[in-house]
Amino acid sequence: MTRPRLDLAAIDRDGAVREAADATSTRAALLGGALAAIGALALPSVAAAAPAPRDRSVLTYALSLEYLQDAFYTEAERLGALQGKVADAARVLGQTERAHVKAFRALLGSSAPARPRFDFHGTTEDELAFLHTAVALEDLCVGAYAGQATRIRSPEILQAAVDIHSVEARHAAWLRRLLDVRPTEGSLDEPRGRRSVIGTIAARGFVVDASDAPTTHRRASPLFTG
Amino acid sequence: MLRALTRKKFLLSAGGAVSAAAAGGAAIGGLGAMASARTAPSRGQDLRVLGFLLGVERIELAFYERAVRAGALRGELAEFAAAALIHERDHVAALEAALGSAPAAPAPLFEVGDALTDHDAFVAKAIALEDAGVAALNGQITNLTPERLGTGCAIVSVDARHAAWIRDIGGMAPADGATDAPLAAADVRALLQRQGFLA
Repeated sequence: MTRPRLDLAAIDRDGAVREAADATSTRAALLGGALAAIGALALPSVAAAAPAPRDRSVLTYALSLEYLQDAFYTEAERLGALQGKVADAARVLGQTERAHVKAFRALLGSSAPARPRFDFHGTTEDELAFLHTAVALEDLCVGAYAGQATRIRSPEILQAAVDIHSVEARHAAWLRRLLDVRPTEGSLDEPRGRRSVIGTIAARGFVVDASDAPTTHRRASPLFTG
Repeated sequence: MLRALTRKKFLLSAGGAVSAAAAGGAAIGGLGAMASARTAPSRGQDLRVLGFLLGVERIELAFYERAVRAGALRGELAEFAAAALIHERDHVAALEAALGSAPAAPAPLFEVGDALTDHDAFVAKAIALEDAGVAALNGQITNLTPERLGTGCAIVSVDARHAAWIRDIGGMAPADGATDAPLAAADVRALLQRQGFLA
């Protein structure tokens, strides 16, 4: 089964991509990246009975972020290039992100998008590159969850997102310590809009394919196409 | 996830307990009265929830203020306490701003033993306090209107960073599980009392 790809108009029916918080001087550049990234996310082919459309849109977006993190840590663990405390963190974080994926897939039911294919451009097999990327991803997800919280209508789904949000913040602090940088950037973590988040990920070229290929379709080692 | 949803049900059913605790007084050691029951977010409920969270953040602020003033922490712990002090001060200010007119701050009364001066005791208390703060915020963010819950989100992830930071210093797993369990207000109050942060 091949699911149709998303285009910006399709995903933005609820205005998600037009969030005011996304106003930025690099808007045009980000938009190009966002289109590429959104194009790589599978469109739910059948609307689920529940959750409601807006919540489903948030869940789909959250699942795509969790897929990304899951794949990143799982690949790092599989390649086995990390050692000591960093390897331990990657293993625990992989377990956690896999649990998050499972949770969002369960909430979305049959409308859950397929797992995309990723290319981490070697960042899963070099300790410093791994830590820099992991910190960036976790900080990004903290902002992404905060950015979506005000949009969620279902109290149950909001509670789930909130309970995951603070765990991502713990991850960010943990990884920052491993990188020997401040666990906190400031007193308040800023929310990040969807366009900004997707644009940031697209700029790294991590999402390479969102076909319904079996999830076991993984390369033995990362490509270096970047 | 299932655990989280189950907890949510628990919280919903725990409204009676929250109500009973709230009936105990308008301000228990700085923790304002909570909503009498879990109801749909409203402006009035926002004020009660923000008042409760302000009480929690004021306790965190007071703890770090006292620890820094005591001047006994060294090295990374001194760095942690100094950073947390600044952040908690800003959290208190953010909640006061969200409240509009904040109630006067009662001086938190607490008995934390030698946690202000002994490294190991400080780490243990700070872990308990930060984890409690995260659980308190996660338990209340869903009770806020969309206009107000952003403040809670911006605060909780920084408290979670503090929790991970001090847990890591203390040799504990920075993140304990896939989700952070929310706690009902009455449970937060009881936890803080057990830890000596509340009379």
